[in-house]
Amino acid sequence: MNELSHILIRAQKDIYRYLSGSNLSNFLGHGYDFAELVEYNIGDDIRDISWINSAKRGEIYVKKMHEEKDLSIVVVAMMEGRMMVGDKLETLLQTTASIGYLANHQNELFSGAYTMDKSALALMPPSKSKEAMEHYIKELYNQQPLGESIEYQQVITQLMERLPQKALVCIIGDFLDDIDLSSLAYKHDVVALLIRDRAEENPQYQSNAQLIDPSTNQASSKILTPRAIKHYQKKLQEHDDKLFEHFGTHRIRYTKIFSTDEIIEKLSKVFA
Amino acid sequence: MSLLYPIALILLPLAGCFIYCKNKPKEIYFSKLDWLPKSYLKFDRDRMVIIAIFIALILTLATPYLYSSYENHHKKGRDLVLALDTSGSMAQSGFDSEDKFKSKYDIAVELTQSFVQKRLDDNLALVIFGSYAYIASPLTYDLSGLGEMLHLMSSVGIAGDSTAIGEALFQSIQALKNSPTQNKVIVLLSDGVHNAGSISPKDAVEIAKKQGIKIYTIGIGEGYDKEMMKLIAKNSKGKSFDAKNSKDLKTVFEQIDRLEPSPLRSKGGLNAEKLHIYPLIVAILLLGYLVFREIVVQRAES
Repeated sequence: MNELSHILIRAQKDIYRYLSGSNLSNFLGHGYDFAELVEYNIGDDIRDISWINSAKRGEIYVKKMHEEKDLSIVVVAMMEGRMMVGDKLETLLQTTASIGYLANHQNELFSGAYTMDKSALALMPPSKSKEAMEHYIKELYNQQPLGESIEYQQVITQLMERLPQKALVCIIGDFLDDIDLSSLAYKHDVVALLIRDRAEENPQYQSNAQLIDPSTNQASSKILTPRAIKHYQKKLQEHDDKLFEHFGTHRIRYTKIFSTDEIIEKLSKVFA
Repeated sequence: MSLLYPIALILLPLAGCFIYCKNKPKEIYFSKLDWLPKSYLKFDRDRMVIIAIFIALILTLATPYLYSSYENHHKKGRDLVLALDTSGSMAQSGFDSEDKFKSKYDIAVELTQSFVQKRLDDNLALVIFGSYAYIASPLTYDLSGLGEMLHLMSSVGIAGDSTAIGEALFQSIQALKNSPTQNKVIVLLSDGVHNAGSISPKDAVEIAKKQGIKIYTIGIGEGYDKEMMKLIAKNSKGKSFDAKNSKDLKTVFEQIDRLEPSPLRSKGGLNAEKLHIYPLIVAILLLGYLVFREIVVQRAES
Protein backbone atom coordinates (compact mmCIF):
# COMPACT_ATOMS: atom_id res chain seq x y z
CA MET A 1 0.00 0.00 0.00
CA ASN A 2 1.51 3.32 -0.92
CA GLU A 3 1.67 6.55 0.98
CA LEU A 4 -1.36 8.01 -0.78
CA SER A 5 -3.57 5.09 0.23
CA HIS A 6 -2.45 5.57 3.82
CA ILE A 7 -3.39 9.22 3.67
CA LEU A 8 -6.82 8.49 2.21
CA ILE A 9 -7.60 5.75 4.69
CA ARG A 10 -6.52 7.88 7.60
CA ALA A 11 -8.70 10.74 6.39
CA GLN A 12 -11.74 8.48 5.94
CA LYS A 13 -11.29 6.91 9.33
CA ASP A 14 -11.08 10.33 10.97
CA ILE A 15 -14.19 11.55 9.19
CA TYR A 16 -16.31 8.64 10.35
CA ARG A 17 -15.13 9.17 13.87
CA TYR A 18 -15.82 12.84 14.03
CA LEU A 19 -18.79 13.47 11.80
CA SER A 20 -20.47 16.67 12.69
CA GLY A 21 -23.39 18.77 11.45
CA SER A 22 -23.84 20.77 8.29
CA ASN A 23 -22.11 23.98 7.38
CA LEU A 24 -23.44 27.27 8.50
CA SER A 25 -23.08 29.92 5.85
CA ASN A 26 -22.03 33.43 6.65
CA PHE A 27 -24.49 34.63 4.06
CA LEU A 28 -28.07 35.35 4.84
CA GLY A 29 -30.79 33.96 2.59
CA HIS A 30 -33.37 31.22 2.49
CA GLY A 31 -32.86 28.57 5.03
CA TYR A 32 -34.05 27.23 8.35
CA ASP A 33 -31.41 28.73 10.60
CA PHE A 34 -32.64 31.97 12.04
CA ALA A 35 -30.11 34.79 11.91
CA GLU A 36 -31.78 38.09 12.90
CA LEU A 37 -34.95 40.18 12.83
CA VAL A 38 -34.72 43.47 10.88
CA GLU A 39 -37.11 46.18 9.82
CA TYR A 40 -38.62 45.76 6.38
CA ASN A 41 -36.82 47.59 3.60
CA ILE A 42 -37.94 48.04 0.06
CA GLY A 43 -36.70 45.07 -1.93
CA ASP A 44 -37.02 42.53 0.87
CA ASP A 45 -38.96 39.42 -0.03
CA ILE A 46 -42.46 39.75 1.39
CA ARG A 47 -42.40 36.00 2.06
CA ASP A 48 -39.90 36.70 4.82
CA ILE A 49 -42.14 39.09 6.76
CA SER A 50 -42.67 37.82 10.29
CA TRP A 51 -46.29 38.63 10.81
CA ILE A 52 -46.29 37.80 14.48
CA ASN A 53 -43.37 40.09 15.25
CA SER A 54 -44.74 42.83 13.00
CA ALA A 55 -48.08 42.67 14.83
CA LYS A 56 -46.37 42.83 18.22
CA ARG A 57 -44.26 45.87 17.35
CA GLY A 58 -46.58 47.75 15.01
CA GLU A 59 -43.89 47.89 12.32
CA ILE A 60 -43.09 45.46 9.57
CA TYR A 61 -40.23 43.14 10.39
CA VAL A 62 -38.56 40.53 8.29
CA LYS A 63 -36.77 37.42 9.49
CA LYS A 64 -33.34 36.98 8.04
CA MET A 65 -32.28 33.37 7.84
CA HIS A 66 -28.90 31.78 7.18
CA GLU A 67 -28.75 30.78 3.59
CA GLU A 68 -28.97 27.08 3.10
CA LYS A 69 -28.60 25.55 -0.27
CA ASP A 70 -26.72 22.86 -2.05
CA LEU A 71 -23.36 24.22 -1.04
CA SER A 72 -20.52 23.65 -3.41
CA ILE A 73 -17.24 23.09 -1.62
CA VAL A 74 -14.15 24.21 -3.50
CA VAL A 75 -10.77 23.23 -2.16
CA VAL A 76 -7.82 25.20 -3.50
CA ALA A 77 -4.42 23.68 -2.74
CA MET A 78 -1.56 26.13 -2.96
CA MET A 79 1.07 23.79 -4.37
CA GLU A 80 4.29 25.70 -3.99
CA GLY A 81 7.85 24.72 -3.13
CA ARG A 82 7.41 25.57 0.53
CA MET A 83 4.96 22.68 0.85
CA MET A 84 7.97 20.37 0.69
CA VAL A 85 9.22 21.69 4.07
CA GLY A 86 8.77 19.09 6.78
CA ASP A 87 5.53 17.11 6.57
CA LYS A 88 3.50 19.97 5.15
CA LEU A 89 2.62 18.24 1.89
CA GLU A 90 1.31 15.18 3.69
CA THR A 91 -0.71 17.38 6.04
CA LEU A 92 -2.10 19.26 3.07
CA LEU A 93 -3.10 16.02 1.36
CA GLN A 94 -4.75 14.68 4.44
CA THR A 95 -6.59 17.91 5.11
CA THR A 96 -7.83 17.99 1.53
CA ALA A 97 -8.90 14.35 1.70
CA SER A 98 -10.73 14.95 4.98
CA ILE A 99 -12.70 17.81 3.49
CA GLY A 100 -13.38 15.67 0.42
CA TYR A 101 -14.78 12.77 2.44
CA LEU A 102 -16.76 15.16 4.60
CA ALA A 103 -18.36 16.71 1.51
CA ASN A 104 -18.95 13.27 0.07
CA HIS A 105 -20.60 12.07 3.23
CA GLN A 106 -22.87 15.10 3.33
CA ASN A 107 -23.63 14.69 -0.34
CA GLU A 108 -22.29 18.12 -1.19
CA LEU A 109 -20.74 19.15 -4.45
CA PHE A 110 -16.97 18.98 -4.20
CA SER A 111 -14.56 20.67 -6.51
CA GLY A 112 -10.80 20.59 -6.24
CA ALA A 113 -8.29 23.08 -7.55
CA TYR A 114 -4.57 23.37 -7.32
CA THR A 115 -1.97 25.82 -8.51
CA MET A 116 0.44 24.94 -11.27
CA ASP A 117 3.54 26.84 -12.24
CA LYS A 118 3.40 30.42 -11.04
CA SER A 119 -0.18 31.45 -11.61
CA ALA A 120 -2.03 28.68 -13.47
CA LEU A 121 -4.93 27.06 -11.73
CA ALA A 122 -6.19 23.56 -12.41
CA LEU A 123 -9.84 23.25 -11.44
CA MET A 124 -11.83 20.06 -11.63
CA PRO A 125 -15.55 20.31 -12.26
CA PRO A 126 -17.84 20.02 -9.23
CA SER A 127 -18.91 16.49 -8.52
CA LYS A 128 -20.55 14.43 -5.79
CA SER A 129 -18.63 11.35 -6.73
CA LYS A 130 -16.13 9.93 -4.31
CA GLU A 131 -13.96 8.69 -7.15
CA ALA A 132 -13.65 12.18 -8.64
CA MET A 133 -12.61 13.52 -5.28
CA GLU A 134 -10.04 10.74 -4.78
CA HIS A 135 -8.76 11.36 -8.27
CA TYR A 136 -8.17 14.98 -7.33
CA ILE A 137 -6.17 13.93 -4.25
CA LYS A 138 -4.14 11.62 -6.45
CA GLU A 139 -3.41 14.48 -8.83
CA LEU A 140 -2.24 16.57 -5.89
CA TYR A 141 -0.07 13.70 -4.67
CA ASN A 142 1.64 13.48 -8.04
CA GLN A 143 2.59 17.15 -8.11
CA GLN A 144 6.24 18.10 -7.75
CA PRO A 145 6.02 21.58 -6.30
CA LEU A 146 9.68 21.86 -5.29
CA GLY A 147 11.18 25.02 -6.73
CA GLU A 148 7.74 26.51 -7.49
CA SER A 149 6.40 29.80 -6.26
CA ILE A 150 2.93 31.28 -6.65
CA GLU A 151 1.53 34.61 -7.72
CA TYR A 152 -1.26 34.65 -5.17
CA GLN A 153 -3.29 37.52 -6.57
CA GLN A 154 -3.36 36.05 -10.06
CA VAL A 155 -4.56 32.76 -8.66
CA ILE A 156 -7.30 34.53 -6.70
CA THR A 157 -8.38 36.47 -9.78
CA GLN A 158 -8.62 33.27 -11.79
CA LEU A 159 -10.57 31.62 -9.03
CA MET A 160 -13.03 34.51 -8.99
CA GLU A 161 -13.52 34.21 -12.72
CA ARG A 162 -14.04 30.48 -12.68
CA LEU A 163 -16.38 30.30 -9.72
CA PRO A 164 -19.57 32.05 -10.80
CA GLN A 165 -21.68 30.39 -8.13
CA LYS A 166 -21.25 31.17 -4.49
CA ALA A 167 -19.28 28.43 -2.84
CA LEU A 168 -17.47 27.45 0.30
CA VAL A 169 -13.89 28.05 -0.75
CA CYS A 170 -11.23 26.36 1.37
CA ILE A 171 -7.82 27.71 0.59
CA ILE A 172 -5.10 25.38 1.83
CA GLY A 173 -1.62 26.80 1.95
CA ASP A 174 1.00 27.99 4.37
CA PHE A 175 0.03 31.69 3.99
CA LEU A 176 3.58 32.81 4.56
CA ASP A 177 3.32 35.36 1.77
CA ASP A 178 1.02 38.37 1.80
CA ILE A 179 -2.35 37.58 0.32
CA ASP A 180 -5.49 39.63 -0.17
CA LEU A 181 -8.63 37.52 0.04
CA SER A 182 -11.05 40.43 0.46
CA SER A 183 -12.64 40.24 -3.01
CA LEU A 184 -12.96 36.47 -2.79
CA ALA A 185 -14.52 36.71 0.65
CA TYR A 186 -16.97 39.30 -0.62
CA LYS A 187 -18.45 36.80 -3.04
CA HIS A 188 -17.75 33.44 -1.39
CA ASP A 189 -17.59 31.85 1.98
CA VAL A 190 -13.85 31.57 2.52
CA VAL A 191 -12.02 29.30 4.93
CA ALA A 192 -8.25 29.62 5.20
CA LEU A 193 -6.41 26.52 6.35
CA LEU A 194 -2.84 27.33 7.30
CA ILE A 195 -0.62 24.29 6.91
CA ARG A 196 2.52 24.87 8.92
CA ASP A 197 5.44 22.85 10.14
CA ARG A 198 6.54 23.09 13.76
CA ALA A 199 10.13 23.62 12.66
CA GLU A 200 8.90 26.49 10.55
CA GLU A 201 7.51 28.31 13.57
CA ASN A 202 10.29 27.28 15.94
CA PRO A 203 13.40 26.67 13.89
CA GLN A 204 16.21 24.99 15.77
CA TYR A 205 19.74 26.28 15.77
CA GLN A 206 21.89 24.48 13.19
CA SER A 207 25.59 25.20 13.16
CA ASN A 208 26.42 23.29 10.02
CA ALA A 209 23.42 23.55 7.76
CA GLN A 210 22.96 24.59 4.20
CA LEU A 211 19.65 26.42 3.91
CA ILE A 212 17.77 25.87 0.69
CA ASP A 213 14.94 28.04 -0.54
CA PRO A 214 12.20 25.59 -1.52
CA SER A 215 10.59 28.21 -3.78
CA THR A 216 13.64 28.36 -6.02
CA ASN A 217 15.48 25.20 -4.94
CA GLN A 218 18.57 27.38 -4.60
CA ALA A 219 21.04 27.16 -1.74
CA SER A 220 21.44 30.24 0.42
CA SER A 221 24.47 31.49 2.29
CA LYS A 222 22.35 32.52 5.27
CA ILE A 223 22.69 30.57 8.46
CA LEU A 224 20.47 29.73 11.38
CA THR A 225 22.01 31.29 14.43
CA PRO A 226 20.05 31.83 17.65
CA ARG A 227 19.91 35.56 16.91
CA ALA A 228 18.77 34.98 13.35
CA ILE A 229 16.04 32.66 14.63
CA LYS A 230 14.78 35.33 17.00
CA HIS A 231 14.70 37.84 14.18
CA TYR A 232 12.82 35.36 11.98
CA GLN A 233 10.26 34.52 14.65
CA LYS A 234 9.55 38.20 15.19
CA LYS A 235 8.92 38.65 11.47
CA LEU A 236 6.68 35.58 11.40
CA GLN A 237 4.66 36.83 14.36
CA GLU A 238 4.18 40.22 12.71
CA HIS A 239 3.12 38.55 9.48
CA ASP A 240 0.62 36.26 11.20
CA ASP A 241 -0.85 39.12 13.23
CA LYS A 242 -1.41 41.08 10.05
CA LEU A 243 -2.85 38.04 8.29
CA PHE A 244 -5.29 37.21 11.06
CA GLU A 245 -6.41 40.82 11.20
CA HIS A 246 -7.12 40.64 7.49
CA PHE A 247 -9.09 37.41 8.00
CA GLY A 248 -11.03 38.99 10.83
CA THR A 249 -11.95 42.05 8.79
CA HIS A 250 -13.28 39.96 5.92
CA ARG A 251 -15.04 37.32 8.00
CA ILE A 252 -12.70 34.63 6.79
CA ARG A 253 -12.62 31.60 9.06
CA TYR A 254 -9.16 30.19 9.55
CA THR A 255 -7.15 27.68 11.49
CA LYS A 256 -3.54 26.60 11.67
CA ILE A 257 -2.86 22.93 11.12
CA PHE A 258 0.41 21.29 12.07
CA SER A 259 1.35 17.79 11.01
CA THR A 260 1.03 16.62 14.59
CA ASP A 261 -2.51 17.96 14.95
CA GLU A 262 -5.74 15.98 14.80
CA ILE A 263 -6.76 17.41 11.47
CA ILE A 264 -10.44 16.55 11.68
CA GLU A 265 -10.71 18.18 15.07
CA LYS A 266 -9.28 21.40 13.66
CA LEU A 267 -11.63 21.18 10.68
CA SER A 268 -14.69 20.55 12.79
CA LYS A 269 -13.92 23.69 14.78
CA VAL A 270 -13.50 25.88 11.75
CA PHE A 271 -16.57 24.51 9.94
CA ALA A 272 -18.84 24.45 12.97
CA MET B 1 57.11 36.36 25.87
CA SER B 2 58.52 33.74 23.54
CA LEU B 3 57.37 30.44 22.15
CA LEU B 4 59.10 27.16 22.88
CA TYR B 5 57.71 25.43 19.78
CA PRO B 6 56.84 28.21 17.36
CA ILE B 7 56.55 25.59 14.63
CA ALA B 8 53.10 24.74 16.00
CA LEU B 9 51.91 28.10 14.62
CA ILE B 10 52.06 26.54 11.16
CA LEU B 11 48.67 25.06 12.02
CA LEU B 12 47.09 28.49 12.59
CA PRO B 13 45.96 29.12 8.99
CA LEU B 14 43.87 25.96 9.29
CA ALA B 15 41.50 28.02 11.46
CA GLY B 16 40.18 29.50 8.21
CA CYS B 17 38.86 26.05 7.42
CA PHE B 18 36.17 26.45 10.04
CA ILE B 19 34.71 29.12 7.79
CA TYR B 20 35.65 28.07 4.28
CA CYS B 21 36.10 24.32 4.17
CA LYS B 22 32.95 23.18 5.86
CA ASN B 23 32.34 19.48 5.78
CA LYS B 24 29.27 18.50 3.84
CA PRO B 25 26.54 20.44 5.60
CA LYS B 26 23.07 19.17 6.31
CA GLU B 27 20.66 20.49 3.72
CA ILE B 28 17.56 22.06 5.15
CA TYR B 29 14.61 23.50 3.28
CA PHE B 30 13.77 26.79 4.92
CA SER B 31 10.47 28.44 4.05
CA LYS B 32 11.15 32.13 4.47
CA LEU B 33 14.77 32.96 3.90
CA ASP B 34 13.78 36.62 3.41
CA TRP B 35 13.00 36.80 7.09
CA LEU B 36 16.46 35.75 8.14
CA PRO B 37 18.77 38.68 8.68
CA LYS B 38 21.63 39.07 6.26
CA SER B 39 24.07 40.58 8.73
CA TYR B 40 24.60 37.28 10.54
CA LEU B 41 26.14 35.80 7.43
CA LYS B 42 28.93 33.41 8.39
CA PHE B 43 29.53 35.14 11.71
CA ASP B 44 27.98 32.44 13.69
CA ARG B 45 28.93 32.78 17.33
CA ASP B 46 29.47 29.08 17.81
CA ARG B 47 31.84 28.89 14.94
CA MET B 48 33.78 31.79 16.48
CA VAL B 49 33.98 29.87 19.74
CA ILE B 50 35.27 26.79 17.91
CA ILE B 51 37.90 28.89 16.14
CA ALA B 52 38.93 30.40 19.48
CA ILE B 53 39.28 26.90 20.96
CA PHE B 54 41.41 25.87 17.99
CA ILE B 55 43.69 28.89 18.35
CA ALA B 56 43.99 28.38 22.09
CA LEU B 57 44.99 24.75 21.57
CA ILE B 58 47.62 25.73 19.02
CA LEU B 59 48.99 28.30 21.45
CA THR B 60 49.12 25.54 24.06
CA LEU B 61 51.11 23.41 21.64
CA ALA B 62 53.46 26.31 20.85
CA THR B 63 54.13 26.59 24.61
CA PRO B 64 54.58 30.30 25.31
CA TYR B 65 56.99 31.12 28.13
CA LEU B 66 58.35 34.09 30.03
CA TYR B 67 61.93 34.56 31.26
CA SER B 68 62.01 35.02 34.96
CA SER B 69 63.53 38.35 35.89
CA TYR B 70 66.56 37.18 37.79
CA GLU B 71 69.61 35.88 36.05
CA ASN B 72 72.66 34.12 37.35
CA HIS B 73 75.30 36.70 36.38
CA HIS B 74 76.15 37.80 39.87
CA LYS B 75 75.30 34.68 41.72
CA LYS B 76 77.72 33.38 44.22
CA GLY B 77 77.70 29.84 45.41
CA ARG B 78 79.06 26.40 45.07
CA ASP B 79 78.55 23.36 43.00
CA LEU B 80 77.74 20.87 45.66
CA VAL B 81 77.18 17.13 45.51
CA LEU B 82 75.39 15.36 48.30
CA ALA B 83 76.48 11.74 48.50
CA LEU B 84 73.93 9.94 50.63
CA ASP B 85 74.52 6.51 52.10
CA THR B 86 71.51 4.23 51.69
CA SER B 87 73.17 1.01 52.86
CA GLY B 88 71.25 -1.39 55.10
CA SER B 89 72.73 -0.02 58.32
CA MET B 90 71.03 3.36 57.70
CA ALA B 91 67.77 1.70 58.67
CA GLN B 92 68.89 1.55 62.31
CA SER B 93 66.80 3.62 64.66
CA GLY B 94 67.51 5.20 68.03
CA PHE B 95 69.59 7.98 66.56
CA ASP B 96 67.08 10.68 67.45
CA SER B 97 66.56 11.30 71.14
CA GLU B 98 63.03 12.62 70.61
CA ASP B 99 61.72 9.96 68.27
CA LYS B 100 63.44 6.65 68.92
CA PHE B 101 61.72 4.96 66.02
CA LYS B 102 63.13 7.29 63.37
CA SER B 103 65.88 5.61 61.39
CA LYS B 104 69.21 7.23 60.65
CA TYR B 105 68.22 7.35 57.05
CA ASP B 106 64.95 9.23 57.77
CA ILE B 107 66.79 11.81 59.81
CA ALA B 108 69.54 12.17 57.20
CA VAL B 109 66.95 12.73 54.48
CA GLU B 110 64.96 15.15 56.60
CA LEU B 111 68.00 17.26 57.45
CA THR B 112 69.38 17.03 53.92
CA GLN B 113 66.03 18.26 52.73
CA SER B 114 66.09 21.33 54.94
CA PHE B 115 69.74 21.88 54.03
CA VAL B 116 68.87 21.69 50.35
CA GLN B 117 66.05 24.23 50.67
CA LYS B 118 68.48 26.83 52.03
CA ARG B 119 71.02 26.43 49.22
CA LEU B 120 69.45 29.17 47.11
CA ASP B 121 72.75 30.19 45.55
CA ASP B 122 74.16 26.73 45.02
CA ASN B 123 73.92 24.16 42.31
CA LEU B 124 73.25 20.81 43.84
CA ALA B 125 73.54 17.23 42.70
CA LEU B 126 72.52 14.07 44.48
CA VAL B 127 74.45 10.80 44.54
CA ILE B 128 72.96 7.76 46.20
CA PHE B 129 75.20 4.91 47.20
CA GLY B 130 75.15 1.49 48.82
CA SER B 131 76.85 -1.49 47.19
CA TYR B 132 77.22 0.75 44.19
CA ALA B 133 76.59 4.42 43.51
CA TYR B 134 74.54 6.38 41.03
CA ILE B 135 73.72 9.98 40.26
CA ALA B 136 70.13 10.49 41.37
CA SER B 137 70.09 14.08 40.20
CA PRO B 138 72.67 16.00 38.15
CA LEU B 139 73.72 19.53 39.13
CA THR B 140 70.70 21.77 39.24
CA TYR B 141 69.44 24.95 40.81
CA ASP B 142 65.91 23.55 40.85
CA LEU B 143 65.89 22.94 44.58
CA SER B 144 62.30 21.82 44.84
CA GLY B 145 62.97 19.32 42.06
CA LEU B 146 65.99 18.04 43.87
CA GLY B 147 63.98 17.76 47.07
CA GLU B 148 61.52 15.57 45.21
CA MET B 149 64.31 13.46 43.79
CA LEU B 150 65.62 12.96 47.28
CA HIS B 151 62.37 11.20 48.14
CA LEU B 152 61.82 9.47 44.85
CA MET B 153 65.27 8.17 44.05
CA SER B 154 66.40 7.01 47.41
CA SER B 155 65.35 4.60 50.07
CA VAL B 156 67.26 2.26 52.33
CA GLY B 157 68.82 -0.57 50.36
CA ILE B 158 67.96 0.92 46.98
CA ALA B 159 71.57 0.63 45.88
CA GLY B 160 72.38 -2.49 47.86
CA ASP B 161 73.19 -3.09 51.51
CA SER B 162 76.98 -2.64 51.47
CA THR B 163 78.89 0.62 51.48
CA ALA B 164 80.91 1.61 48.41
CA ILE B 165 82.42 4.92 49.54
CA GLY B 166 85.03 4.91 46.74
CA GLU B 167 82.38 4.60 44.10
CA ALA B 168 80.23 7.21 45.78
CA LEU B 169 83.09 9.68 45.60
CA PHE B 170 83.81 8.75 42.03
CA GLN B 171 80.19 9.29 40.98
CA SER B 172 80.19 12.60 42.81
CA ILE B 173 83.30 13.68 40.91
CA GLN B 174 81.51 12.64 37.72
CA ALA B 175 78.58 14.81 38.68
CA LEU B 176 80.94 17.78 39.04
CA LYS B 177 82.78 17.05 35.82
CA ASN B 178 81.20 19.86 33.82
CA SER B 179 81.05 22.40 36.59
CA PRO B 180 82.85 25.64 35.70
CA THR B 181 83.06 26.97 39.26
CA GLN B 182 86.12 27.12 41.44
CA ASN B 183 84.37 26.05 44.55
CA LYS B 184 83.35 22.43 44.13
CA VAL B 185 82.23 20.50 47.14
CA ILE B 186 81.19 16.96 47.91
CA VAL B 187 79.30 16.27 51.13
CA LEU B 188 79.60 12.60 51.96
CA LEU B 189 77.15 11.18 54.47
CA SER B 190 77.89 7.67 55.65
CA ASP B 191 77.48 5.47 58.71
CA GLY B 192 79.61 2.54 57.63
CA VAL B 193 82.91 1.14 56.50
CA HIS B 194 84.02 1.01 52.89
CA ASN B 195 83.35 -2.62 51.98
CA ALA B 196 82.20 -2.72 48.37
CA GLY B 197 82.84 -1.35 44.92
CA SER B 198 85.74 -1.47 42.48
CA ILE B 199 87.16 1.95 43.28
CA SER B 200 89.02 2.58 46.49
CA PRO B 201 88.34 5.77 48.44
CA LYS B 202 92.00 6.62 48.17
CA ASP B 203 91.95 6.66 44.37
CA ALA B 204 88.77 8.66 44.33
CA VAL B 205 90.24 11.24 46.69
CA GLU B 206 93.28 11.56 44.42
CA ILE B 207 91.07 12.43 41.48
CA ALA B 208 89.10 14.88 43.61
CA LYS B 209 92.26 16.53 44.74
CA LYS B 210 93.44 16.97 41.16
CA GLN B 211 90.23 18.64 40.25
CA GLY B 212 90.24 20.87 43.30
CA ILE B 213 87.16 19.34 44.82
CA LYS B 214 86.75 19.64 48.56
CA ILE B 215 85.18 16.71 50.34
CA TYR B 216 83.29 17.20 53.59
CA THR B 217 82.59 13.96 55.34
CA ILE B 218 79.85 13.40 57.86
CA GLY B 219 80.03 10.24 59.90
CA ILE B 220 76.71 9.21 61.29
CA GLY B 221 76.40 7.24 64.52
CA GLU B 222 79.19 5.20 66.03
CA GLY B 223 80.11 2.35 63.71
CA TYR B 224 81.68 4.21 60.82
CA ASP B 225 85.34 4.25 59.75
CA LYS B 226 86.40 7.44 61.51
CA GLU B 227 89.99 7.33 60.36
CA MET B 228 89.14 6.92 56.72
CA MET B 229 86.55 9.70 56.85
CA LYS B 230 89.09 12.06 58.41
CA LEU B 231 91.71 11.09 55.84
CA ILE B 232 89.34 11.70 52.95
CA ALA B 233 88.50 15.17 54.30
CA LYS B 234 92.10 16.02 55.06
CA ASN B 235 93.50 14.93 51.69
CA SER B 236 90.91 16.96 49.83
CA LYS B 237 91.22 20.05 52.03
CA GLY B 238 87.80 19.48 53.40
CA LYS B 239 86.56 18.84 56.88
CA SER B 240 85.33 15.82 58.73
CA PHE B 241 82.40 15.93 61.08
CA ASP B 242 80.72 13.39 63.29
CA ALA B 243 77.13 13.30 64.13
CA LYS B 244 76.31 11.02 67.00
CA ASN B 245 72.70 12.12 66.98
CA SER B 246 70.27 14.19 65.00
CA LYS B 247 71.25 17.36 66.85
CA ASP B 248 74.90 16.91 65.85
CA LEU B 249 73.88 16.33 62.25
CA LYS B 250 71.94 19.57 62.28
CA THR B 251 74.96 21.45 63.59
CA VAL B 252 77.15 19.91 60.92
CA PHE B 253 74.84 21.07 58.18
CA GLU B 254 74.81 24.55 59.72
CA GLN B 255 78.61 24.61 59.62
CA ILE B 256 78.67 23.63 55.97
CA ASP B 257 76.11 26.37 55.41
CA ARG B 258 78.59 28.91 56.62
CA LEU B 259 81.39 27.91 54.25
CA GLU B 260 82.42 30.72 51.99
CA PRO B 261 80.58 30.90 48.68
CA SER B 262 82.29 31.83 45.43
CA PRO B 263 81.11 33.35 42.15
CA LEU B 264 79.28 30.60 40.39
CA ARG B 265 79.52 31.37 36.73
CA SER B 266 79.68 34.31 34.42
CA LYS B 267 76.73 33.35 32.26
CA GLY B 268 73.65 31.80 33.69
CA GLY B 269 70.85 29.83 32.21
CA LEU B 270 67.60 31.70 32.26
CA ASN B 271 64.69 30.49 34.20
CA ALA B 272 61.76 30.04 31.87
CA GLU B 273 58.20 30.08 33.13
CA LYS B 274 55.97 28.08 30.80
CA LEU B 275 52.55 29.62 30.23
CA HIS B 276 50.90 26.94 28.11
CA ILE B 277 48.42 26.12 30.83
CA TYR B 278 46.59 29.44 30.32
CA PRO B 279 45.52 28.96 26.70
CA LEU B 280 44.65 25.39 27.65
CA ILE B 281 42.35 26.65 30.42
CA VAL B 282 40.72 29.05 27.96
CA ALA B 283 40.16 26.18 25.50
CA ILE B 284 38.67 23.95 28.19
CA LEU B 285 36.34 26.72 29.41
CA LEU B 286 35.11 27.47 25.90
CA LEU B 287 34.62 23.79 25.19
CA GLY B 288 32.69 23.52 28.45
CA TYR B 289 30.49 26.41 27.34
CA LEU B 290 29.66 24.64 24.07
CA VAL B 291 28.85 21.38 25.82
CA PHE B 292 26.72 23.19 28.40
CA ARG B 293 24.83 25.05 25.65
CA GLU B 294 24.24 21.79 23.78
CA ILE B 295 22.76 20.22 26.91
CA VAL B 296 20.50 23.23 27.48
CA VAL B 297 19.30 23.15 23.86
CA GLN B 298 18.60 19.43 24.04
CA ARG B 299 16.67 19.87 27.26
CA ALA B 300 14.64 22.66 25.70
CA GLU B 301 13.81 20.42 22.75
CA SER B 302 12.74 17.44 24.80
